[in-house]
Amino acid sequence: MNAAGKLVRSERRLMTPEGVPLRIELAEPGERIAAFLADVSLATAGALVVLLAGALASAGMKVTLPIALFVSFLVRNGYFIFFELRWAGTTPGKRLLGLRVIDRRGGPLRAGSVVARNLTRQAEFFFPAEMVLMTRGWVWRPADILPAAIWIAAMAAIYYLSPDRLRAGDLIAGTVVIASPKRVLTEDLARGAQVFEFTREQLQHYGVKELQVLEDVLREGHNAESARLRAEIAERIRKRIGWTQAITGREIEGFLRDFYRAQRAFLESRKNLGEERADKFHAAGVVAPQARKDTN
Amino acid sequence: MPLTLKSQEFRREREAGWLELETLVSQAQQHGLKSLPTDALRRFPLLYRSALSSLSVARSIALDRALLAYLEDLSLRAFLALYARPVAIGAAIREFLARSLPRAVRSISVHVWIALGTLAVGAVSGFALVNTDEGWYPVIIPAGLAGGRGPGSTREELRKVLFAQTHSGSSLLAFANALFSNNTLVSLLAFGLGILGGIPTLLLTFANGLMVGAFMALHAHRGLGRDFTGWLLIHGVTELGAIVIFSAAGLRLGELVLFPGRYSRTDALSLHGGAIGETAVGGVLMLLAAAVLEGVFREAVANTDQRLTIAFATFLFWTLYFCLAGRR
Repeated sequence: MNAAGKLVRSERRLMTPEGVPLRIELAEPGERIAAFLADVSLATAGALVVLLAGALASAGMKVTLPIALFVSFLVRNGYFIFFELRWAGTTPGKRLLGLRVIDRRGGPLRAGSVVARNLTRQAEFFFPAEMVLMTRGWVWRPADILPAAIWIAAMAAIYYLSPDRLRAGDLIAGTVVIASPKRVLTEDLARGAQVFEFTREQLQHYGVKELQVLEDVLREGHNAESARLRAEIAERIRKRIGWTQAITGREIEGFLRDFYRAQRAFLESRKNLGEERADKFHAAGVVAPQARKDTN
Repeated sequence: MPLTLKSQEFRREREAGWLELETLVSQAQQHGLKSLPTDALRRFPLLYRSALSSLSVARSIALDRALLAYLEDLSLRAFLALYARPVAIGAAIREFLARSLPRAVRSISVHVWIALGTLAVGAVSGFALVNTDEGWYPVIIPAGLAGGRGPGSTREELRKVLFAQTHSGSSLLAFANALFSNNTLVSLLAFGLGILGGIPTLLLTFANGLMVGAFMALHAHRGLGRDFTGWLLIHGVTELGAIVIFSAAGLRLGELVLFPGRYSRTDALSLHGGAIGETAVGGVLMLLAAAVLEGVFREAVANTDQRLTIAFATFLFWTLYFCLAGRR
């Protein structure tokens, strides 16, 4: 989460066959667990329906634990494999959370991969859990649960230690779970008539980072909190660039937009000339306080 | 001063194409690529490539973060719609059984031979040990798995187990019981522990061989060698085959972990891991087949000659399947 309370996912690059790397956002652990719980609930409900129907159809058949486990094995894996194949890497739970399974190297999702990543989930979680169920009825000592718990913890450790948030099944199947891209095209903030004019000197103070923070603020909805924030930022900019007139009330919005437009025009023209001003520390060889993260 | 930014002009010029692509992508996501009219289908790849080029340009000239994020997402959505399409399940299953699976197993044939050899060495050692001294038997076979059979058992007691009719009336129950047996756990462990470098895989396979050999010696001493072979192999060819397959996949996994070559371990796994996953899926299918043979057929066929025939038939089937199917 960033300061504004928005979910920030870690990013990776995916190379297209056309040679343009695309940004992908990895699914967060919480999202994956939630999707998993939703899917398992649905699949378990399906398995119960099958078991009940089976028990009613053949009145004599006893539903024992092994049969129940086997039927839920079939229904569960059938569910995951069917949806991931037919819905191109999504399941109802994943759709709910906006997640998607893709091939790690950017190719099509192969059937073998889908089956492998789902059967591995069986070994990662369900078999250890079910082995406990199978052995002791409903009464367990810590010694019965511990090995299964260690097993599941080790599998979780693989997930947390892997560089791209891959569980063992993803590792083997060559897949990765991403957040489905869905951003829409928003208004260009640089549109509209210019009221305030700025000199070159006044545009020397800020870099790309500050510009984009300003963009985020301008794209926020209007409420008391954002109005206060805008007034504060306008005041700070005014002081920094040496703008002498006071900016008040109605003018704030227009001032910020015009400054954004002028600053962006200036920085984009510098960029075209090969000078990238990353942030306000760009001048005079001042090094930014913390090294910027490499997103690659 | 009328201020027009380059990035603004750029957006104005290309916006129509992006929005058209977005509409097409949304339709393709909801109803599939095939639902698009021919004309749209022809334009799709062109629009996709021009979106990619827009993205490259925007990255180098534009500082509008919302625009960049939109183009990234649009390109990725179009890319996924084009390259990661839904799979037809029937065709995928046929392709897997007819080609991918046997090819995957053949691609790790060295590992299959190593696993088979380890199992065989284990079996011979187990037989030799118990053959010389039945005191080894309880050492090799845990009490939970012996099912009451041991050095103290008489010929009659052992024979009774081999031809027992404990049929519970439900073949599904027998099947499920057979499936959740010790060997399923051993197979999956042999595969999963491959990630630790393959040594536990070899140990598990060897231990499994030991147990088979020890059982064999116990029965052979009481003149039941042939009957036991029938009892074991009717499903054992398939089940031990599954263990060999899983352990071969585990060995390959261990090899990639220990010697990833010039790639990182994750890259090596995603590059060569497909065959491992497919082989393991084959192993699961073999375990299911073995459970049917053990739970249903073994009790139905209480005759050693017929059991051996079925065992031989399954042996022939798996050998031919893995050696010949899907060859070009």
